[in-house]
Amino acid sequence: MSDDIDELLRLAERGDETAVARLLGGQRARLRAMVALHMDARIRGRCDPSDIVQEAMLDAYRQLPDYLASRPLPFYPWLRQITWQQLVAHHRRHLKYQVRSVLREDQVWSCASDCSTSQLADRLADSVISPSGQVARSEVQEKVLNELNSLPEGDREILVLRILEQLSSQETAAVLNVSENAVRVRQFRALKRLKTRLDRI
Amino acid sequence: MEDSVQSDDRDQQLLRIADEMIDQLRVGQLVDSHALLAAYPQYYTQIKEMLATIELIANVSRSVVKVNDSDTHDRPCGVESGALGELGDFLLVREIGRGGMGVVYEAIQRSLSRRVALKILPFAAMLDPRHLIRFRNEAQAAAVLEHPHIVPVYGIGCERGVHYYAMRMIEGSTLGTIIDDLRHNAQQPSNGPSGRHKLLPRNESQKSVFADATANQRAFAPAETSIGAPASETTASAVAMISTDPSDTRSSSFFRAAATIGLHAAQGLQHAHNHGVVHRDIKPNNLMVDSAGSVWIADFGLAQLDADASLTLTGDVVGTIRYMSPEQARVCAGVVDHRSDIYSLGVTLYELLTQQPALRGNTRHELLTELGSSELPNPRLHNPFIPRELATIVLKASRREQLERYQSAAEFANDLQRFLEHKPIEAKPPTALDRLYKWCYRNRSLVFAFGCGLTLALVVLIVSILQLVHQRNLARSAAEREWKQAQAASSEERRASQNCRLALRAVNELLMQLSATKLKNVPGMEEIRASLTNRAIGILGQLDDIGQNPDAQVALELGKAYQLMGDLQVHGGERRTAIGSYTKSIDLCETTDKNG
Repeated sequence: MSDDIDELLRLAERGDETAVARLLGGQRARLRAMVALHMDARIRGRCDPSDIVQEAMLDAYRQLPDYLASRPLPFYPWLRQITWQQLVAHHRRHLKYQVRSVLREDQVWSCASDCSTSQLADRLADSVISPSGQVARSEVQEKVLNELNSLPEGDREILVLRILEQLSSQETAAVLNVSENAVRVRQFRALKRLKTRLDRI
Repeated sequence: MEDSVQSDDRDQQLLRIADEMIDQLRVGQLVDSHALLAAYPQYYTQIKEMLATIELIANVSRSVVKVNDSDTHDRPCGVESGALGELGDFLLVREIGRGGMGVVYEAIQRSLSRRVALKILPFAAMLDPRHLIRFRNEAQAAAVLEHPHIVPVYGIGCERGVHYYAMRMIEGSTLGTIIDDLRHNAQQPSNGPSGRHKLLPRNESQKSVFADATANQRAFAPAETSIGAPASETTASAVAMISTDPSDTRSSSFFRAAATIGLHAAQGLQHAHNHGVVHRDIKPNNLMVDSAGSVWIADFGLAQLDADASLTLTGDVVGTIRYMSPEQARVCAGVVDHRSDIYSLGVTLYELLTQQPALRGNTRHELLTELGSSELPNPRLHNPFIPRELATIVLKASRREQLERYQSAAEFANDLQRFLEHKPIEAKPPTALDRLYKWCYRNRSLVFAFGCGLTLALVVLIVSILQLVHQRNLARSAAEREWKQAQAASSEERRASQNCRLALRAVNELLMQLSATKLKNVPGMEEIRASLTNRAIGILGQLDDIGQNPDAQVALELGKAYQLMGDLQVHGGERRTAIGSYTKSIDLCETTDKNG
């Protein structure tokens, strides 16, 4: 798969538009999953993960020449970063103007009146998995999700990236800016800690 | 801590196992626990536990998102031919242009053997089905439009994963290129045409980018510059004669050509708006001017169906920000509707007239700030030769406020038509008062601060004026009093000297009587005369004392008195004393001389 991407990147560099299309199109589903994972339930009614991915794709298309010139990080982590920015921007936009009506819908965030809206937006787009009210979930799944969210940030981050977002060790390392070996160590530790917590319930 | 883990060989192996399990899951397989357990029997429990935990987490993700939904659906099936030789029915000839949304090729549609412009849309491959529906709807909407100033859409499709948009091939160039040429030639006037119009059929003079190609049209529009152009039919089909010679950007034919371009585009827009299609991306590069000088609006591909609001939930901002209306760029509140197109056409014409973009900023941020700050400056500031009416029309179309623009493309077109026919236009330039009011509104805080300052200054001024007036009154009354006193003093003095003179005259009269000859020779009167004279001298002396400075008259009278005294003394034989009297008389007379 990564060979495929490398090959497409080479073609794209030569100005092959169809390669660009395949390059970006091939990552769409993955990005959509990532967005759906992190998107807050309250803005889900107002925009679709596909919309966010769509805007990210257009951003990426515009920024691709710059990326190809310098390649600061692997392709998927780069795309994920652009998508992430779009995700945060969407949270800001929707929550800035609608914080009041949104709060009425969902009392979970009743503390929000103490926070500035931008802080709120940042926190929502943080790597906490959204306590989505829209997706039916079994009791066990709910518990696992709660435990996952209550893990220390570093642990949660790595499990989310590796298992939920399905990034490879290499991509995870690029996103977190650590070595691949550090990724392996961290994920192992995080798994152990999560297991201890799950055993308690 | 990581070091301690790494040093442990057993843990190192477990790390690898965990990594492998996660990776297997990642690529969509079931974790092959049997193989792992067979390979590492010593970690049986650990593997079982880890696997359980990993699967629990993975389960959460499956409930949140179905990762692989519709993944295969629109995955591009790929174009194997690296070169762009052909695409389905189309034979790609050459690249014509490249824009934000894709590359345009000149192509031959083999089944109909016609030339088409084929726009390849790389981003369409990234669309998910929902967006693809929207995109197709937009294309359908554009395909419905049939108008002499709208580029006809031939078809839209997907061939081997590559989405394309086929439209009629327009021979000519974009307005963007024309503006670039005008600007370029203005900078290097001696170079003449830069030869960047590769696609352009040039006329003999090699100066005009567009010439009125057909004799027919020439007959209809005999002279671009003639006053009192013929009826509307003619102007509508008038030929846009744009010369890239910089000196021509001052001529009236240039402005009439620019107005004609605007007129064509506005007519095309009105047609689209009538069908509920808003372009949303009008800019110089989307307006084609063909070799006959007619204008074509291209790229209705990004248009959005007004009615189909559900497909534009998020209202993605597409289009080039430089030509975006404030409401489109979300600088101002307002729904993006057909008036957004009017704005974009307005700033496009502004750029054509001035050869300068209406918004000068280079970054997104700069442009947005500029868009939110003030109205556009009058284009006549850049080029004073622009006719006033044309400048007014362009400014009205590109107002920040939706309600202040032309409310329909037809109104816009009508005003341009009126300009071309030398009739009075409907648009009115904003009065100085309007501008002042708007400026004040935009700079509310500044105006408020200024107003406060002004009020304060006024109060201070009034207070100090009152103070000054008060002090002046005081000074004046004091001066009056002094003047009165002085008056009183001088009248006193006058009266005193008058009295003195009266007294002197009385004494002198007495002396004259004494010296009269009647008494002179009366014996025995000598003594009486002498005593009387002495009394007179005494009085005179007193008078002299009163008037501190010996008044000339007093002194004179006194002198006379001493002389009389001397005479009497001579008579009485007292010569010695007589000499003293005469000396005094002489002295007094001398001082009178000196003073007088």
